[in-house]
Amino acid sequence: MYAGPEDSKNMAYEGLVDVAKHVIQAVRHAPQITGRLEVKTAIVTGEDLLPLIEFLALVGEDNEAVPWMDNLTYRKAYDEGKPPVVVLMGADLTTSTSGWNCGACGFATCAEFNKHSKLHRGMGMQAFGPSCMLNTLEMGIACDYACAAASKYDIENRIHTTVGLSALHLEYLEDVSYILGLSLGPQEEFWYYNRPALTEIWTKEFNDSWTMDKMRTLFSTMFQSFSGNFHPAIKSYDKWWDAMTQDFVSVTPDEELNKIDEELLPKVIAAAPQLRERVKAIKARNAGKKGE
Amino acid sequence: MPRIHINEWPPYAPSNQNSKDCSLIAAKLMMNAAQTAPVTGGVDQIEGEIVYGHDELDDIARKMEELAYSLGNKTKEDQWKYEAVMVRESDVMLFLGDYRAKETPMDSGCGICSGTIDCGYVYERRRVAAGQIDITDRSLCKTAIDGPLCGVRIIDFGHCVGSALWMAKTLLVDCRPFLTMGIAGQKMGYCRNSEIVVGLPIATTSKNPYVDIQLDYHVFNMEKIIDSVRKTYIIARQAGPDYRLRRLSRKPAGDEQEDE
Repeated sequence: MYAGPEDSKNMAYEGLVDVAKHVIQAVRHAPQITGRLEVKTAIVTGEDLLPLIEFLALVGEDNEAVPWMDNLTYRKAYDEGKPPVVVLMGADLTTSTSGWNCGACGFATCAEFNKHSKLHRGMGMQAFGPSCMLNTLEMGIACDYACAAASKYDIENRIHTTVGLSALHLEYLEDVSYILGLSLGPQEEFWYYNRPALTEIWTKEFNDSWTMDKMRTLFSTMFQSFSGNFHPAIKSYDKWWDAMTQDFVSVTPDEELNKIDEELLPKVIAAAPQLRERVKAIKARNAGKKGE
Repeated sequence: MPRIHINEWPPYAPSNQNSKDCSLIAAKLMMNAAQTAPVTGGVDQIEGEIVYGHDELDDIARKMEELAYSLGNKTKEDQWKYEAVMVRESDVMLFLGDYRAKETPMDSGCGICSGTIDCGYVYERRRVAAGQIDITDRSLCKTAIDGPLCGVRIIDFGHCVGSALWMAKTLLVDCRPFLTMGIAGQKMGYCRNSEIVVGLPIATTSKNPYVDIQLDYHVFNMEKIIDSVRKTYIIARQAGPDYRLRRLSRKPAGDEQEDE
């Protein structure tokens, strides 16, 4: 056999699916404390990833946060003909079955927690809840085994909450409350960490307006600890300690952010059913094929 | 160069101590593997502690046996007692704890703990001052772990435990994660900053001490069986002839002419 430069590269790319299979073997073989959590898995790649990429774009479009970056990273890989092989790992964490009564959820017994959990199901930013903390710990161990298995094969990989969230909304896996997505490939030195897909976008202007702005908002104590007339100033004038009020910080709504937030939900609600239909079609088309 | 001899039996003899020392190295590598596990946002949040030595491990086992009864959870009573035996059969104990799970949540509104889009579930159930969780009053805890804890931190903690386990697997030492040992260790002051601690006992014996556990293992294990043999055999030996005066026949019965 002789495989030339292009052929051997393509063969290596095709091998990513084999690694994904091994990753799932590792997930299923991961040690557990309670030994009762069933982790469901799926492998998605190629054009079947498109609904997920589009959903990430939709969520990240205006706020330029992590979903937006992941969308660009995935999109670039897809456009260049080397879409990542995504391993989805999900589990239903909402019901405690271990009978540990450990208290980590905040309730004295598992029965009390399960009662509360049944009545208070809801969706957060990443997951359905409430969740049993021991289940959550098992899920973490299983997902780490996935990452470790991928790293053994020297595969460029990263675990994404955003991909898991999208898969949860689009029902790539059903009857689960939390999904994490593990991307395998493309085989570049850095694809998910230094993010070559963002190189062109990340100009000085972008850095100043986006990164530094977020930094100032998020970590105000790091940036606003001067006692002068800096803007935005927490402390009103030089001798701030003489001020009549102790309220050095005031809370005001961020008009821009609120607008994005208000527009995002209707947009997602409008687009999600169509994407979900497509995922359903993908699942129906691939049913019983075992990835062939 | 000195000779390094390894032999599993008897436990804690110099030859066994040599292999236990190697388990200690494995435990240290596992602790570092846990440090490098992927966590949300790359935020450092775990601490580790290694416990080594016969008496130190026995202390943990005793604490577990105490908790088997004092926690009052009948369904887990056996599990506590069985796993205490495993601690005694281990070479080294590695504790991993997440010190952010209780005090400094991720604050991302992920919904894992509550199913809501905010972190109110955790903050409402804690004493809070200036937006920070006040953990100074430890008398409030009525359960083994003082919840609620942050779900994102727990997922991350799972990654850390998983990495340590993977390192153990890579080094071919026997290891499994145990919550019982974690809780006992935390109550004894190991990984004291963490509300949730997992115990990872490490052993390098021919038989993995953490699998194939018999029923009533707390009284039916190697240590107890050997002790039972010692007790019984000593009784059987209470009387005997003077071996210098009387040579016992090893020939079949009826063929004893040669004996005096």
